[in-house]
Amino acid sequence: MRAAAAALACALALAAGAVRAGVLPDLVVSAAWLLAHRGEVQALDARPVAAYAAGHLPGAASLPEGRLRAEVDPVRLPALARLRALLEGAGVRAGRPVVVYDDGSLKEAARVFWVLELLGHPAVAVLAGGLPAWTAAGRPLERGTPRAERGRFVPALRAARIATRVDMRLAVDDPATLIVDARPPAAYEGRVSSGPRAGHVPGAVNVPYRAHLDAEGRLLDRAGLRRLYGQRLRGVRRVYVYCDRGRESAVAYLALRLLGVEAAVYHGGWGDWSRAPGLPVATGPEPAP
Amino acid sequence: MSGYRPGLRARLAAVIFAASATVTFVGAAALYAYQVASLRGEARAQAAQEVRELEPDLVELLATGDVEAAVGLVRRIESGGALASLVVRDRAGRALLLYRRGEARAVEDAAAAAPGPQAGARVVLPVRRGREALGEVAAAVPLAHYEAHLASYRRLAAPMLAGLLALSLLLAVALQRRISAPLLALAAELREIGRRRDFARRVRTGLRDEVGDLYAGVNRMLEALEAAHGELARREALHRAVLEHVEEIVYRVRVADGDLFGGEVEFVSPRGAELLGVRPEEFRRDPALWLRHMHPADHARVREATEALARGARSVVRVYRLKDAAGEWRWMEDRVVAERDRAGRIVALTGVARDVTPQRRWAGALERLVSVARELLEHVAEPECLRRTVAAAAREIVRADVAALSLREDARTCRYVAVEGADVGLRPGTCFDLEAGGLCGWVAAHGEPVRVADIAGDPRVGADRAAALGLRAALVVPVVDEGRVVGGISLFRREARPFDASDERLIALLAGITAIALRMQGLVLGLEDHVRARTEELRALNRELEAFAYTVSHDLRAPLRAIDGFSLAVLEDEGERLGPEGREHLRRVRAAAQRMAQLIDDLLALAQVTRGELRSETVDLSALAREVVEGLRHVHPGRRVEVDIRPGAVVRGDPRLLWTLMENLIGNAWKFTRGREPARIEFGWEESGGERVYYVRDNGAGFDMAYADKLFRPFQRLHTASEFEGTGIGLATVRRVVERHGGRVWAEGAVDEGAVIRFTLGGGRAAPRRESAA
Repeated sequence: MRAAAAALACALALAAGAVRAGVLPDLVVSAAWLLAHRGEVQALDARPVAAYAAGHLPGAASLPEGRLRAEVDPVRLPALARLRALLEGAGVRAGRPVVVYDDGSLKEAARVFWVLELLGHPAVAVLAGGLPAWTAAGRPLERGTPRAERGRFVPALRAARIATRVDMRLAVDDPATLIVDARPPAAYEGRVSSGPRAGHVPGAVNVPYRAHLDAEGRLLDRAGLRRLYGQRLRGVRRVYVYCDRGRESAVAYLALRLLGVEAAVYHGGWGDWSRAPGLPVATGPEPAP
Repeated sequence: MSGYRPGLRARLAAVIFAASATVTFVGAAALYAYQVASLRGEARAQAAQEVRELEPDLVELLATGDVEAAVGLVRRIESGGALASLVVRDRAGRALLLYRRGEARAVEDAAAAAPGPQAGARVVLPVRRGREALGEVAAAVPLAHYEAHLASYRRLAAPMLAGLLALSLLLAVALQRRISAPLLALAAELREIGRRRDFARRVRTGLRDEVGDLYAGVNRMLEALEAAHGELARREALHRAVLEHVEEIVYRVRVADGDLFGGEVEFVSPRGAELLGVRPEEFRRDPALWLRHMHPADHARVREATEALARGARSVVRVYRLKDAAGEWRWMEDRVVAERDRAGRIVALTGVARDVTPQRRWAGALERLVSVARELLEHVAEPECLRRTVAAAAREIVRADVAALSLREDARTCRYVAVEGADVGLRPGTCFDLEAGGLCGWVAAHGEPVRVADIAGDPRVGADRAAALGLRAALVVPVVDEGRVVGGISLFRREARPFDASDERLIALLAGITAIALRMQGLVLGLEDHVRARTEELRALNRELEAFAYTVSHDLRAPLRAIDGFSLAVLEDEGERLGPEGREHLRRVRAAAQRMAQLIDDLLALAQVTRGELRSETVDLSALAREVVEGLRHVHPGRRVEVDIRPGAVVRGDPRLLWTLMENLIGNAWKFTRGREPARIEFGWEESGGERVYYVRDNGAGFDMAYADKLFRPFQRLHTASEFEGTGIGLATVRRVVERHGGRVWAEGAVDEGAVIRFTLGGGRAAPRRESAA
């Protein structure tokens, strides 16, 4: 009898937990799911304001990815107070699930996804296929200028979701930490560079942004992603990803999160690493494992 | 007696035990509270210490807001220390960052997410760089390991408390005996004294402590009781003595079987027997004695008042007359209280009856004086009436046989101007010499009243004269105006029943009123003479004015006619030669002349309204309004004006003036609605404040309310002559007409929103006018 009651209570508690966190079924949601649950989530449009004004998901607020950058160094995040103001200005509430979307490239949506996860938002997902997936099914769009009810969001930083230059330098010598370079192979190999020096962080593997997508430009499913990373995740406790401006690395971050891997984005990206004197740089193609 | 012992002892033991147990518990609780507070203090100090160690990261975070600085901070907290949570706020108090150990989760409200006082010890510290405040940080450490301290403290305290309580109980039982024994002995002694009522007895003990004081106190109380006993007896005697001598009649009647009138009289204070002229014991023998002395007319009222007691009233006041020993009716005010048994039946009546005859007389007399004052005011212009009123009132107020008012003619002589009452040979008009003595002479000389019981024995009046008049008692009061004796009021009785002090005071009051009335009479009569003279002057002036108006109308109009006529002649004969400009100038000359003629006509009309006798006839204003409108339609056939006239405005007044009134009001409305399409004019009335207010309303050019008071003055125009023609006399004329009828006129309006002129006609009665037109 007592055991039964305990089991029941346990089940109820689980169910309650499921209801609270489980509005979002996964880190990536489909357009069909979003249509069915529109009222329960806050949709965020990560595209530029002009695109938003031309047509956006009904009820979506505008939070352009380009705004989430410091004025002095567009690679890095703005100050915390500014971040909080931006999020609240877009109507983000800590207690309301968020679904982020862009034009389908995932670059913008993934970066907003990372910022929200970094700042401790408990329920964030990305819309699979972005706005095209929504309109493809003939679903309506809404036009107009950005408008949003003021949100409420006090950030609680998840320090494990972000890597600093020091973290990166330590990771170079740490076999339990994998470094992923999400730039195109040409940049990885050192043939082109956005920074003062060309090449990659020694020990980093190259998983370019494009590789995360299928032929139609969609994010691979979990099986495809697992195949993509393959043996490289074996024995790895955490992964640091980087790129030039933090958008491609955010897609890799999203992919790794989907695989259940502890991942962090290198805040400064290649520019930060290559600017710092005394940090090692490697060139050439990724050595075969 | 033995019944007391366990009670007191048990209670004493309980009190001692309770006191010691309370002290024990409070001590233990205080110690515990101290422990809690100091542990919390320690925890807070720890939190503060940890925050201080984070200072460099906090400064950097707040100074730059950099996310990497935040990362550094969070990692440092997690790398060691006991902080459970942290909220960083910027200078503006906005939460920048929330940290909770083990749960990196954003919240909507930092204040709500911060740990409560149960969860940990909190500190809030400012963050500064140099002297610049950057923000503040609220941090908390968990109390868990302090809780362990407290738990061990509690485990130790429980058995110690139990032991202390057992010890207190033993002490309480042992100690109570020492206190209770002498008290119980005292209680026994007091019961004995109470039983015997022996207040002379004293209690004794060898103790010198507070119980000893208590014994001494009891002895003092017994002394006081003994003394009070004697005092009570003395008071009773005093009480009796007071009852014997009070002016009021105090009585008590026993009531049997609800008969409120036939009970046995238990007690009547001596004044009762004295008043009725009976022996005190007669009351007891004859319960109806009191009723027999009562005025028969008062029986019913007294019975009714008394029966209110039977219906439940606690006390009633009965007012009635009793015939006193001298056969006079005395007014009694008798306040009687019913005493009841437990079932509510009345068992006795206790009353206090007071002789209120003097008060009643005063009240009546004062009322009479007030009515006399009013009568005097009404007849102030009629000397004969005034004098008779004074004399009659004086006689009535003091119940004299004869009353006379005399007025001083000059320094020596005085004349009776009014005599009321029995014919004893005093005649109005009789003069007498004040210096020849007599009561009046004395009063005039001294300015003070005089009272004489028997004038036959008074040296100021000759015995033969008094005998001749057949008068005995006399009262003479001077009438004094501004310190001068101007007359006197004399009162006489045929029998030797003297006037008393209250008579004198009442007549003095009457004399005062008389003095004022006489002075007013002088003023009023003088004023009337003055008015008559002024009226005559005005009449003469009026006649002059009329002659002047006639001159104006003729002498001024004649040259004007010449100007107009010759201008016309020039215009017709020489028009061609003058050219267009010259013709225009001449046209203007003519217009000016015509306008001046109109002004003169209007002025004469106004003068006509002001003067002249006012006739009072029945006039139908509605019919007048219709006639005026018809005339106007005839003159201006092109105008479209909606006219609404409420029929039946029948008033009394002067038909000729009222015609002028309606002609001006409706003519104005007609004029100022020019250009309105459609124009509306309304005549009607409304009842307001008990009078009928007539109005003429239009939707014309209106006027600015700021100038409302100028409207009714002659030659005041609010519109230029080019807008609306007119001389500015019309509304002044209206006002004269209305005022001559005793009414008022006023206007309301706004520019371009029409106007409404309201007037009353003094209730339809024409105001009388003293002068008549010659």
